[in-house]
Amino acid sequence: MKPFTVLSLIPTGIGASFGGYAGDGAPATNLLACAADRLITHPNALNAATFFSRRPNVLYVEGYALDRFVEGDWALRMVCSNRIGLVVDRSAEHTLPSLLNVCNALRASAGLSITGVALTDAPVGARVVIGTNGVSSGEVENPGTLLDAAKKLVDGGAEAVAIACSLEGGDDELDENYLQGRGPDPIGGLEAILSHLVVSQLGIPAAHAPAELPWTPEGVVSPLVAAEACGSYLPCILLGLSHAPRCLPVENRKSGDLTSEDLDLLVAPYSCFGGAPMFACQRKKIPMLAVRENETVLSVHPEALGMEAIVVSSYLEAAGVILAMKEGISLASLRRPLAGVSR
Amino acid sequence: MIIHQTIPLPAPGEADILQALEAQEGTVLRWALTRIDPPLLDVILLA
Repeated sequence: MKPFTVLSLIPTGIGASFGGYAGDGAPATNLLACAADRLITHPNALNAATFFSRRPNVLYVEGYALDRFVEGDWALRMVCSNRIGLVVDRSAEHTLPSLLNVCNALRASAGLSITGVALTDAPVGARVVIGTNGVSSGEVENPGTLLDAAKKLVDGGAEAVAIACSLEGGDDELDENYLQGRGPDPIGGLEAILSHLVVSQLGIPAAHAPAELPWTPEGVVSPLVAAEACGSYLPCILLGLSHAPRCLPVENRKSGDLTSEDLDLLVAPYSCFGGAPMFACQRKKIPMLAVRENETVLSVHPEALGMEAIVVSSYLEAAGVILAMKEGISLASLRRPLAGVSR
Repeated sequence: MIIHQTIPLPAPGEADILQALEAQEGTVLRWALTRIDPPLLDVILLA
């Protein structure tokens, strides 16, 4: 039987009540993975600073690569492991000893292959921008220095790149709300931009963790962000990247590589259907599932865009829908009233 | 330089989005509709 493959998206920086904070999307993601044969998702659905919980059938794929994958431009190739290089922003040079301790700890305790660390020649200049509806985004003054450092690592044998930058800007009120588990992650959008840059230009798996946070969690914070009050932010991306699928142009695919033709279902919050993957799925007639309970600061619903989606109340219900689709049980037969077939 | 732009659209359809993206100078790293009425497109651009 064909493996049932699900793509679960929880866009970052939009205050998603599941997955908008620090690894709080992992339980829902892992639940969906229990129902599916394979589940593809992006780093921020799982990243929880020092913690990282990923079932073996969950594929950790950066957002830009996911966009290209769903469009049909890129394929994904499963690997046993990746050699990881770490790029550190020159502005965060003072954090280097603690970052090196994290790398060495994961080499010693988790057996990761971390091949090298490169400091950027100049400060990256990554700055938080807050857009419409409070959506978090960002700008980067010197992307070239980040790419140069990443390329050095790739030339030295790295197969995936972890990025640790210093992030500037932000807003005290947004930071405080975030620590209480309300509103968008102020740095989420900027982090996505930094990894999109490296993936788009070098075509390798990448993820970003702040070298240090622009705020200091004090006291007891919301459970949704508590992972960020427990130590370094780097371990989760190193663990994720260590098994991340490689991306390659679809024309170079081999047997066993995944393409958008393998995709059976997309799952996303009901209020954020305005992204590139949703438009691509609509065009390719890939079924979509919209989860109401995962609220965000947006109101971009599938109906308003003329998209067809199965709307469910929760991830618990979504897991049931996935099981039913995988096993070939009609969703209509699981609901009442059940209309009769007519000529 | 990577910049964030917010672009008003005449309608929230894919054709309008693609037209707006084609008008940008640089590489589009990410885009998303962040509002439907009136439609707004957020674009991250590598200029």
